[in-house]
Amino acid sequence: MLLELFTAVVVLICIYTIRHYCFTVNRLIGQQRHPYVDVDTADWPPVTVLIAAHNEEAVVADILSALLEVDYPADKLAIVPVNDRSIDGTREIIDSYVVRYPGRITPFHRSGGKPGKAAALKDAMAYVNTEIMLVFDADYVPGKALIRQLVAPFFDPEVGSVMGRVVPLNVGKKLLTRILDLERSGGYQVDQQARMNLHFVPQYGGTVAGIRKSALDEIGGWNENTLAEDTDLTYRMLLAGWKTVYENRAECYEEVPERWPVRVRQIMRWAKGHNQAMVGYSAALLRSRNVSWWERLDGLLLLGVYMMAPVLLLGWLLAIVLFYLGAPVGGSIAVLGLAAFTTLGNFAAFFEIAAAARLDGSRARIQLLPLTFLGFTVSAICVSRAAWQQFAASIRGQEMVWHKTERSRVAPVVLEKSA
Amino acid sequence: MISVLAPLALATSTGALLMVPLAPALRELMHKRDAGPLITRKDDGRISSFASSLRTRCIPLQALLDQCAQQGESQFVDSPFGQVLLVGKSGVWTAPQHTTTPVVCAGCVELPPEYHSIGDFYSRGNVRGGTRSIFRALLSDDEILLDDETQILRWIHAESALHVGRNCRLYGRASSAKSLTLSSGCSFERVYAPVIYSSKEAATLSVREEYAAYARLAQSGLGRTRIRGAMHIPDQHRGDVVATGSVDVEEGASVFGSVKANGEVILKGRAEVHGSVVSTKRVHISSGCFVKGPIIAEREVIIASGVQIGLPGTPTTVSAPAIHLAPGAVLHGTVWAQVEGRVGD
Repeated sequence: MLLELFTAVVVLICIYTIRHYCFTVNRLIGQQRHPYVDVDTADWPPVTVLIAAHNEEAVVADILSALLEVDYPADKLAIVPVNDRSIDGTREIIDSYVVRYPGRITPFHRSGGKPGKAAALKDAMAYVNTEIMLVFDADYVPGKALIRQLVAPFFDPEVGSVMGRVVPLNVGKKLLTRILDLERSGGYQVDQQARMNLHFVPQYGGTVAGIRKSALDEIGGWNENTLAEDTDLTYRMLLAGWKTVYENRAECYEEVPERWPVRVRQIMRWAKGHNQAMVGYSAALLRSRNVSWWERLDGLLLLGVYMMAPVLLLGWLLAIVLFYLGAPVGGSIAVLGLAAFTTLGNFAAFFEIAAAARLDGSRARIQLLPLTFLGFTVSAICVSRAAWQQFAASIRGQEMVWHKTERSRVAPVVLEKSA
Repeated sequence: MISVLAPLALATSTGALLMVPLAPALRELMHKRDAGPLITRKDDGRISSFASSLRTRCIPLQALLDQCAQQGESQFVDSPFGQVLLVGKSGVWTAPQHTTTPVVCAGCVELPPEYHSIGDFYSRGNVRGGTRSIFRALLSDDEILLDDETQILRWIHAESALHVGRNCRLYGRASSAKSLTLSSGCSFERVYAPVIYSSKEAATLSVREEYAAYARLAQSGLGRTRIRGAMHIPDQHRGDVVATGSVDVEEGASVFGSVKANGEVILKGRAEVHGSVVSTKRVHISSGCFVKGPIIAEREVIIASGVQIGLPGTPTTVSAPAIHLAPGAVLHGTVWAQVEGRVGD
């Protein structure tokens, strides 16, 4: 029994290893798909930009300033900061911008209601009068061309949502930020773009992202009962026959967590939300007639990605137990070790990170690769703990709580000016 | 004593050995040689950004250029971006046949055949090139006329009309603030103008303007039809169309919405799409067709003669790895061939 279980774990880990290798090889030598990146001239549609802001006084001014300078027709751009029950100075900062730029910003100050980003966005829909809407978290700093880059894929009537690339801004602050910079690089530059290349399931990430309102209405709007509205929306779109597009060149700076406790809370929330989607949509995905077989396979593997951490820990435990029981595990332990090493973590495996650093033209940061093992170990433990808490909460019938990611920025962002 | 030191020495040396692969990581962590945020796209995406940049660089040279123009002379001057040839004399080119430095001309110039300019070339007046010329980059504040078999290596921009002769090769960007006329046999990558003609004759075609009623119809949120397999549109269709296979829009049919095929899109004669056309493979637009919005294909776009893409005042984009234009087509906006665009004979 234990041996069979161990074999199943090794097989699962190997499947994910192969998946990561395929993505990396595709990015390095495969044909790259950027079908919408060259749409630079068009009759641009009206767009609403929603900025999710919950106690964001440290960062909200930066994103408002950046959005007021983007290269998009001002008469077609509605900026809606969604001030979700903030108790700091977020409201005052937003209102000062409203006064300084009359007619450009329509604030939504939310004072009550259910906590969570999805719930806030759901309430903010009353302010959306356009077919296309973009969603940014308040710590993001969009570049001048970003709005056009994110809107361009919506000229394709099959596209329901769009995801841009997130680039960490506060890279050099701490060891954690440097590790997260490499992780993000692997996750977007390799993992997301490979899934775009292969017509698989690029993931809507909830920020630096766009949504077609009619598609959102068709799938029933925002789901406020989830901890990861992005994953939830990705799968509901997919099941309804809408495509999610990843735009690797639509880059936007974000602030990554600088403290380990913040990172731990962030990844545990992601894991719980993702696992919610796994439970909710796996069966529907298997049955759906709106998806291709490749989308079905990739979609299922993506749903299971956060379960691989507890599976991996189980594999290690079983390997030790079986070894001391004298079971004939043979080379399986070596296979598990290798596969575990290369698949552990949140999407971004080691060889994906190395490939991403090369594609990004990064120089010395690749030398930090051995240290990412630290981040992956923390992730594995946190994700496993999140899975256990989720399991325990479901038995006790407890509701899960949404935790906002704390910001560390203390001064306005000054970026290198565009050429 | 020896028995205590031996394991300690073993542990220390083993630990040191294990630290060796971490040494570069720790060094980078401490020295932060590559710890800045990844540089994101700097280019603002505008096709004329190189032209604007060159014009800005030439501003400090304007006074000297005016002097050269008054004296009708040419001279080399030093500038912050190296040596520059200032040409004050308008008309037939009398300076060297091959120039390696940037050239700035005060007025109109008429260049000889097989002229080669390896540096940037900027003229405040018209530029008329000779046959088989080669320019790295060419900018005119007025009109540019490229003779047959000319090559542009990086970019070309005219503030007025840009005429491109037969069998020219336009690598990189080619743009005009007014109009761009391509001749047969031309190849191109990224071109932009308010109006692009794929032959001189195309300029004589009657161009349709926006029909307000159609525009309202196409933008009125008519919903989406999703079809498993191929789809034929025989006459009028309202709303967006998405097919998992190919889409054929029959002769004279109209779509008030956008079309997406996970296969080929074929627009037969005089068909109209008042939205975008997107294909994961090939888009074939037959003679007399009209498409208002962007055309995006992941393999190839073929545009026949008598086709109109976009509208005056509402330019759009045609994007595909390969784009084939027949002579006699009219396009408004950007045509971007990632591998090669070509005007047929």
